[in-house]
Amino acid sequence: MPDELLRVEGLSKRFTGRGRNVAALDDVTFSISGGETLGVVGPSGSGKSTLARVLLRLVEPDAGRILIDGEDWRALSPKTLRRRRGSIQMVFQDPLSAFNPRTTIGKAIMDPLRIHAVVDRDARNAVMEELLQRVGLSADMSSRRIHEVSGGQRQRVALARALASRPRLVVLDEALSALDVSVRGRMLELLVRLQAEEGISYLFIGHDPAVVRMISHRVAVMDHGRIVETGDADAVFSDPGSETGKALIAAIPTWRRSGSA
Amino acid sequence: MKPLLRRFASSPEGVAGALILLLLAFAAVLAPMILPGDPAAIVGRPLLPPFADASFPLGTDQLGRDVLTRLVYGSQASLTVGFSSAVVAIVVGTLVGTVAGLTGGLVDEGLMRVVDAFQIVPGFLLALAFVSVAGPSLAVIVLAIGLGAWTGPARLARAEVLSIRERDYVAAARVVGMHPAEIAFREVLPNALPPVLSLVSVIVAAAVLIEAALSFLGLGDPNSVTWGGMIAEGRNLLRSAPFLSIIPGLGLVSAVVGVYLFGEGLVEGLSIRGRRL
Amino acid sequence: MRSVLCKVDRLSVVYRTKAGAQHALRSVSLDIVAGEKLAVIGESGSGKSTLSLALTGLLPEEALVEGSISWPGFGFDPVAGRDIGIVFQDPGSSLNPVLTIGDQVGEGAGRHLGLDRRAAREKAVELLARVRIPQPENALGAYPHQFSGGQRQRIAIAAAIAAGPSVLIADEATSALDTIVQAEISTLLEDLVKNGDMTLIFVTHDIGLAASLADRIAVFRTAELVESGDAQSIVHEPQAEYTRQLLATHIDLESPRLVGVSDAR
Repeated sequence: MPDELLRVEGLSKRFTGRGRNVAALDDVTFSISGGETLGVVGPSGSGKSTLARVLLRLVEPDAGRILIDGEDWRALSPKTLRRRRGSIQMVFQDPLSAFNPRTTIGKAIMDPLRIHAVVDRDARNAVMEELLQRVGLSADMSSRRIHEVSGGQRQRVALARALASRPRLVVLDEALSALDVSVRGRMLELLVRLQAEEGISYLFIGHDPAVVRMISHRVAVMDHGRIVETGDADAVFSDPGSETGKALIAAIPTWRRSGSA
Repeated sequence: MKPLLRRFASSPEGVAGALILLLLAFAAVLAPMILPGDPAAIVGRPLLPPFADASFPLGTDQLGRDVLTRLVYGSQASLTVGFSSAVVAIVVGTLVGTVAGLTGGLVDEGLMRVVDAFQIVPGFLLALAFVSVAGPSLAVIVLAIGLGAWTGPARLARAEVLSIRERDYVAAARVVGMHPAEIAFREVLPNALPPVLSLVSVIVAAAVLIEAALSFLGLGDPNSVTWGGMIAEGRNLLRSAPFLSIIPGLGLVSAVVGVYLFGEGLVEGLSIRGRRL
Repeated sequence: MRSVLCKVDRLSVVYRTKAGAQHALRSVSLDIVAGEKLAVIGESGSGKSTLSLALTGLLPEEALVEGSISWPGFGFDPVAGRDIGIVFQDPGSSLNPVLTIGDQVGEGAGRHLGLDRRAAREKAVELLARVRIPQPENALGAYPHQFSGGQRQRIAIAAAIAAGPSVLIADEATSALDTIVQAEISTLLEDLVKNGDMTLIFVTHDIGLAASLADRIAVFRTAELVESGDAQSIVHEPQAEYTRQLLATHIDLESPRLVGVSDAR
């Protein structure tokens, strides 16, 4: 029986004010096992990003439970929550804005090492350099700042930071969407390799079903804040059951085969 | 620190401003050494014009005191007041603005109403009122000017903080598990500061001028020589001995210009430019 | 035989930076055929966006330009807005957040077609209907933030074609949108080009989108034109190694997955 790492039940979040009244999350329930990748797809406004932020407790939901290793995350005190944060980390869509422009890359990666006391002070620098190398970057990048490295390298830095606290789950919120196509494939391979080596679970949020399918074991389709379909990635994408799923797949550009008009 | 200095050095205005200020600072600090003597001492014939007598290069005032000595000693008071007030204004303003921006809610509302209250009163009048009540010493003057000038930095800091709060790197810091206090001081404040620091030149310039005006009105520190005081004393002799007011006036102008140029260079040096993709 | 609308001849664009001279485009020669849908493909830094800026005359002042862009199809130098419309990736930069939709869409028509306020408003309604914004009359008084990303992009397209340009340039116009909206915008662009007899130049990094929408494809890499030609030929029989690489790394539903089927462990 695969161990259940994350269990989400009945998560709901409504945004009101300024004339808006929209259910960003509506009774969302799902689970992720250790070492598994759950992909989340859906049109814009379907609630994917809100899900990521609620899961990370950047935004408080109106209702629902978040259980990590059986522990109720919503019931944690702020201090305990901060300590537990090491087990779930996030890679944001835009790495440039996800890093303090004044902090060096090395310092940014050492922050989680320090905060979660992963290793003692003397070992921190070495561990930070090792993390950079694991994501395919050179250790001398640690003295640079995030805007001084290329786009593809930035997301690797973000991944290194996310891995520093030895998380059990990493949420990737459209993390590959802004990357060049040729870089995307390499990042996907890196993520899969790390998963095999560390047993990390991923919540992979994306708007391109083809990319999500590459790395996900199972996939959830969201629309208007609800999960409308879940299942094995191949099964869902080859024969979607939900209207949303069908629309997403139908929208993927098909290459006209030579000979047809 | 080094890249900051390098960027600063690449701005000609900043370097020019720094040179002017360094010159003034040297003069102020080294005053007792290069011009020993009491600026209040009567040393020669009164109203000697400048460049007339080698021992009094800038002439003497109506009491026979050496203008050059008074000018140099006067820079001490003016510059001290100018910079100290700016420091007070920026420190107080930034703290208040940051607390308001980060806390939000009633605290934010309350603090902003306090800012409104201080902003309604023109800075000079506030300083005037304060000095009349508390007495004209340099410390009181610094405090008085600072009280008038902190509202600008407060509003600016708050606006910056409100914007920075929503940035992904602040969210990332929360996700990493950083303590809120550390987020405030390491992630938010250093990034909110540069635009606020660009107000330095304006505040210092205004402070120097307000101090001069207070001295001009006779509300300055009677025990120190200040440029404003010199201008005030020369007021009655503007037609016969204009140099008595013009010379300290030039001192004021160079201080203000120097601060302004330095401020430009500071903004240049502090801004982190993103790479052009 | 379709006529040549635009002739790009050995065009080079150089930016002088502190790090030295940077070529954004290096001796690019390309013909644009009237009425065609041309896709300009490349990754970041390939120069594809610089090309669209050069065509519309929107290059920054400090850019050094060599070579030439001539417009035999026009016979005069086209004016951005009137003869060439351009839509960018981020509708936030095309649309002014403090002006109403009506003002922004009507402005192009008013200025270039010389319409008075009332006629410009009517034209704006017609354009909004054409890009399928629901209740166009009500939309006139609304502001950009009241619309979704896909709708904002449609409004930006309406504003771009307001003056009836014969060329429309879409610079990564669908890149920030989800696949469903992307497909809708692509269809919209196709319709507009067909009905309006326009030439469409769309810049994208998505070779799949290019293959499905374009008549011809031009592949760019680090400021140089790698190859260009009929879309189907490029995609099925690429001549250049780089193009082959792009095609190989393209991810679609048929690409082999990196993880296995989810099974009981």
